[in-house]
Amino acid sequence: MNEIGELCILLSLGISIYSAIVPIIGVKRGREEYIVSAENSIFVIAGLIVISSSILTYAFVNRDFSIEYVANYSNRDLPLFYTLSAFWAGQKGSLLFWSLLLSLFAVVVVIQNKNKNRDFMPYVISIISVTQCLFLVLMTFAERPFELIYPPEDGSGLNPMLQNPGMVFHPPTLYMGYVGFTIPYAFAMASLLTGHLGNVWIKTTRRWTIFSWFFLSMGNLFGAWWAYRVLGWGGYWAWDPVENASFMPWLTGTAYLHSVMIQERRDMLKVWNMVLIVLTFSLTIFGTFLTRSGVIQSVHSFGQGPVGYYFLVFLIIIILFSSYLIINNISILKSNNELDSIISRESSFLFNNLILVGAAFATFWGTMFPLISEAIKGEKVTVGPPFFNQVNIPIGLALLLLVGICPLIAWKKASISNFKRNFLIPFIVSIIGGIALMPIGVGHLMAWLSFTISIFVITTIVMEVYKGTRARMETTGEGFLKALITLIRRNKRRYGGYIIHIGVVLMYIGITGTSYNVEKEATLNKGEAMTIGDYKLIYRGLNLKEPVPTKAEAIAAIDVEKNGKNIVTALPRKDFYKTSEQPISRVYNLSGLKEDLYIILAGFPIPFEKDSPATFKVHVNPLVKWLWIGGLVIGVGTFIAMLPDWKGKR
Amino acid sequence: MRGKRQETNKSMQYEVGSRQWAVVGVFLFFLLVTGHWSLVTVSAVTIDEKYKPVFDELSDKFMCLCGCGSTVKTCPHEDCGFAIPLKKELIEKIQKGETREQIINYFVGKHGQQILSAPPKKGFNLTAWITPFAAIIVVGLLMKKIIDKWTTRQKTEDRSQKTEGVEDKYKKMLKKELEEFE
Repeated sequence: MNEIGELCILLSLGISIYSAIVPIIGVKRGREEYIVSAENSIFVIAGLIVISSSILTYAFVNRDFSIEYVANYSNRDLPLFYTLSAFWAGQKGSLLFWSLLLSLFAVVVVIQNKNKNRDFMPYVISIISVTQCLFLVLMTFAERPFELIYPPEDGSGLNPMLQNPGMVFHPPTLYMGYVGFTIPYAFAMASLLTGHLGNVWIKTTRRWTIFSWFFLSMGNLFGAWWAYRVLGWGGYWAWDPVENASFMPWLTGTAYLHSVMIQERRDMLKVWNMVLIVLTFSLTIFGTFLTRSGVIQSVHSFGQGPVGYYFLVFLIIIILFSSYLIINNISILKSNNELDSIISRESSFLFNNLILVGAAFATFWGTMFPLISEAIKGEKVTVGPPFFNQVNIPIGLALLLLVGICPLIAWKKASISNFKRNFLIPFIVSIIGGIALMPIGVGHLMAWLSFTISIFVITTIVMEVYKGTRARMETTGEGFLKALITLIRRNKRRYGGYIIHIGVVLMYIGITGTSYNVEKEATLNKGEAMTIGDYKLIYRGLNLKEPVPTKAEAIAAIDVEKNGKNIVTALPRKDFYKTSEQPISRVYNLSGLKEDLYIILAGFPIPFEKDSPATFKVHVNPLVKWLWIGGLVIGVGTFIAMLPDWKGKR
Repeated sequence: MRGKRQETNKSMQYEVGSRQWAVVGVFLFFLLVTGHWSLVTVSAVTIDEKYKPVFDELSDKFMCLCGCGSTVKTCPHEDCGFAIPLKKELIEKIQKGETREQIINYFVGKHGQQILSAPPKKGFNLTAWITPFAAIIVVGLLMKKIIDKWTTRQKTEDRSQKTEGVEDKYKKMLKKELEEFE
């Protein structure tokens, strides 16, 4: 079977080279059949990669340890759920997974554009195929997923840290975001190559952009959720270089999502939009380079190897190729329209872009600074979480403020009355809210600012939706709920966007809660108690069990009392795997809207004795749940924004 | 709801039978032999409450060099070979009454600049802090200048269009009168 898998990859590579070259020849010679042939080859590539991926999955399920990758990332005791997710747990499988997604997305693009954008399609197919070639070359020459070994009795197993639902969903969603941005990039380049620089490419890829942005957002969020539940340090974002690598394209992708609106509406910022999509796509490749090159130390990296340098070469090619095309078309790209006023929606979007790209630059700068310092001064420095927090918090607050201002400010030129109408009430409400929140602001200025601005943003959005609904009720005589639903259905993009903004504000609230985290560490004898915040934790004993032969679980029982009332028996535990040197903490998290009680069994003496003293690390993390709720709200908003246009009666 | 949750959790507590204990024993022996157990020791770093704010502040200023990518304060490894000894040393120094500066200098001297979780705000490292904000401010000012230029140009164009409009009106009147005169 493995030979078939390998053959499929090899054939895909050959056909990808064909589909990268042939459509361009088709354009040069004016032969439509060449282009159709390249389009058909996209289906063949997808078919071959699906076969290859199915064979690898089959090998995992059947514990075929003659395949090195299967032996390295699974074993006989691994549950089916995690056996399936082991597909993308390592370098080789993740490359195949990336290739699979790209091939499937390419099929969708070909189907979508069967009867439209015919002038773009040769170039779109060619660019997607060149990207596909990169992954197939890697899988053919550097990282072969079907490499054989002498089969061991059992596999090495999946890293226990990856045996968590968060890690099952984190890589696929992140990759969907990364891969998805290939499509808008390919269309952008196609528009430059054809000289058709209008808004067609932007309208064609609008849903692809939202789709990619959404999955990139979810990928980051799943990663944060996994870190929170598994890593056991009480936080969810550590500004690790690899985390930064997925955050940067998210920031530039968000900027791009907003700036294309100005091009659609005012036929402006064409050069800037090109730059943003090139930057976003390049950053997805840069992130992959960081993860796989080992050039920067990270807990998430796939280790050192030549793979990263393939990505680096590809990245350089992308930047040179895209820059050449943009510069070559600069005179056509230049807009005839100009901004009418600095106080306008266009300007506010520009400043929103400035802040988003500024945040991406700050993150990039911090990530690369150790290398820069070493190259210039020969001195190793570390740029850790305190740097990123200090630099990005003010930038983040400015961005939050713009989330409230941008959507409501008038196009072209805002008047004083427009300002008053839209912002006076939110301003007053946020001032009242800010004053009410002053007691919690003492010593936490940034947190107080964040909450106050959040109130402002939420009020602007609620007011805007309310005004729209009222207007509809007055003109059509509909009831409030019907008017609201129709309003959203009539303008899904706009109101979907508002819902996404509410989700973003909720996430800000969740993140701001971090400022009030409390933590305590204590060693307790059986029956002893510790207090933290409103909680009293009484240690009831330590026990051991072995659910499967390869795993032992040390479980502590803790009665949790809140305000004198017993609310739950918490069972934090520590898992020991035969296949892993490190024991894994399984955090007990009592999560509520107000706060999380986060208990880690940190240690106990050896040799193990039932009910021996144990050490606990306990955190009370306020408002964390709002971060995850914000993610859900973003999901709802994106779904609405992506729905097809409704052509019903007004 | 809470009561039900408590009941469920209590029912999760288990009894390990004698056969199972034997299996567990073998497993524990395996862990002991392979040294895995040595990783789970009581790692609590006890500190007097009055020193905790300083301890929290300083332990966040030092990077854990075990490879976890976290600060000493947030290192997720309870048995970390780097963070735990450093925490203990840090407590000793705080309790001895050493100043923040003395403590930071001591650890920088011992481990180099890379022990600091953020580059110090002086010398070349200052560029790490300034560059992002400088870039945003410079680009922001540039943007404002360009927008101002556009808006000024537009105002001028609007004015000239208005003037042209007036001139056109008189030209038409003149033409009409001349035609009538002829």
